[in-house]
Amino acid sequence: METASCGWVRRFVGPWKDGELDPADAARIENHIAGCASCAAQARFEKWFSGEVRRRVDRPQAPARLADRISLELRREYRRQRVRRTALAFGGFAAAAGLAAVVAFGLRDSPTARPPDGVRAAVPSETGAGRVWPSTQPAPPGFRFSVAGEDDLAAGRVAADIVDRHDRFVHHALPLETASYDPGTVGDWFRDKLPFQVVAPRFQEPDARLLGGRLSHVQAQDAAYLAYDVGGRRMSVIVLPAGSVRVGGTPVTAGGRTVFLSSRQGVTAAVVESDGLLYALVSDISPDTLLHLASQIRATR
Amino acid sequence: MAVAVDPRRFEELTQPLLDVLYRVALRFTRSREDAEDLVQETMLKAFRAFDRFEEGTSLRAWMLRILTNSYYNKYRRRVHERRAADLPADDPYHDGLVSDSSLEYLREPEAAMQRPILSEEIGRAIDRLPEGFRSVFALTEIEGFTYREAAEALAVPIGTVMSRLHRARKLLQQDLLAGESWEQSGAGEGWKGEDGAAAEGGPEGEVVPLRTAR
Ligand SMILES: [Zn+2]
Repeated sequence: METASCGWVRRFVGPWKDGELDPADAARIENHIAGCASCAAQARFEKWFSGEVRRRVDRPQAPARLADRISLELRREYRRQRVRRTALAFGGFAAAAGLAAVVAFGLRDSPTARPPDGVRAAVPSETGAGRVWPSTQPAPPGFRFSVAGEDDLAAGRVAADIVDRHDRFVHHALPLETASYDPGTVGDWFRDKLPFQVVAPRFQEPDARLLGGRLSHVQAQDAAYLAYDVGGRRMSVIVLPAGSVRVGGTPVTAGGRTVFLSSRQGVTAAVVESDGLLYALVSDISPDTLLHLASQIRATR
Repeated sequence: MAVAVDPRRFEELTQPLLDVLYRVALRFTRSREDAEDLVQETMLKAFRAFDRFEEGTSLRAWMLRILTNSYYNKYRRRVHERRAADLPADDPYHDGLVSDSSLEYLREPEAAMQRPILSEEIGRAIDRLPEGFRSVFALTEIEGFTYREAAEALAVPIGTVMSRLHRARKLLQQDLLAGESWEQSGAGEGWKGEDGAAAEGGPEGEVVPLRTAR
């Protein structure tokens, strides 16, 4: 084997240490080091130095707000792309229709989504609670219904998203970006951040209290996330533009309002529309209480 | 037009890279705000161009390449950051930046190894590195990129990665162990070459015996 000079070894001891040399050259270095105390000390030094740096260097993590910001931007971009693609495919007229991303709200796969006592189901369901709202039934104005079929997957994803937002807040994984008991203050905070005006619901119950809000999203749809305390339990209210959302779940009537009720993973969701906005209330409080709160939602500005 | 990838799918793939992107951006910009903006811009560009990513290749190298390009396009136009940015990629022993005479400690490496290095000192010394060295060092030594990945990420030949890493280590050792940064020592004086042909990815003029070299 060709003998390596000390100079050559010094030069390539780094790549050798990094495992970047081909086997023949690595062997040349190793052979040299075996018989050269000076280069051996140099090799030990280089290993020590890299080890020190790797052990001691600060490795900051990306702040959580960065991930949130990116998430929001990606979804905006996704919507822009879909609108553009629709425009290319069908011309301007269809593009306007394409703006309303079809997001199915389908918390309908749970057998516990039974209308609570004292609440009359808007339409009796022959096969029991939790059945998909039949598409042949006339829909209340403003709602479009998910039907069994292709929407199921999307509906499931949306449902999972909404429950996920609630879970994350409950487990302190999503800090609030604005904290205030005052619905007006919280609503104002969203003003320049979302393309729709957010109205934080006010409830008659004194123990249902707003905590604050943050930006969120459901699938590709930007949304406002509002956190409430209801008698010591957490309730999430996710606000979306009504036109962009398709609703599933079991419709029940409460306080003269149609509320879509469903359960999933131990939490109940109650969805109600008011003045162009869709409100999804999610909590592990009793379905009766949730329904009662949902029925109070009015777009009082 | 690019085929839209579902944002959720994209996030699943890129989420594990967020910290690396942020740290490298931080090394580039040396500012948290700028680093966040740079990472956000990178993610958005990657999302738009995702159909051009070749499966089976290194996603982190591809993302870092986008980050690097974004950085050079945007931040490096600032004049005050130029000087340190472009050092020719020559032989580290003959470029005046690192000389054996300035590396006294190298004569007694065993003694140097007794000296503790503080975390804050390391961070500051890395930030003082000339830009081209800093990025190579951050990717390989700190983030564990192979030379090939770093070469892809920074769009330089693999030999340049090796040469810059070598020099970065020597500069850091000089700074941390001999207590003399290359800036203080004046060793970097006289460098110019914002537009020098050798500044970015110039040929090394030698056959590099790297395992990963083509
Ligand atoms: Zn030797």
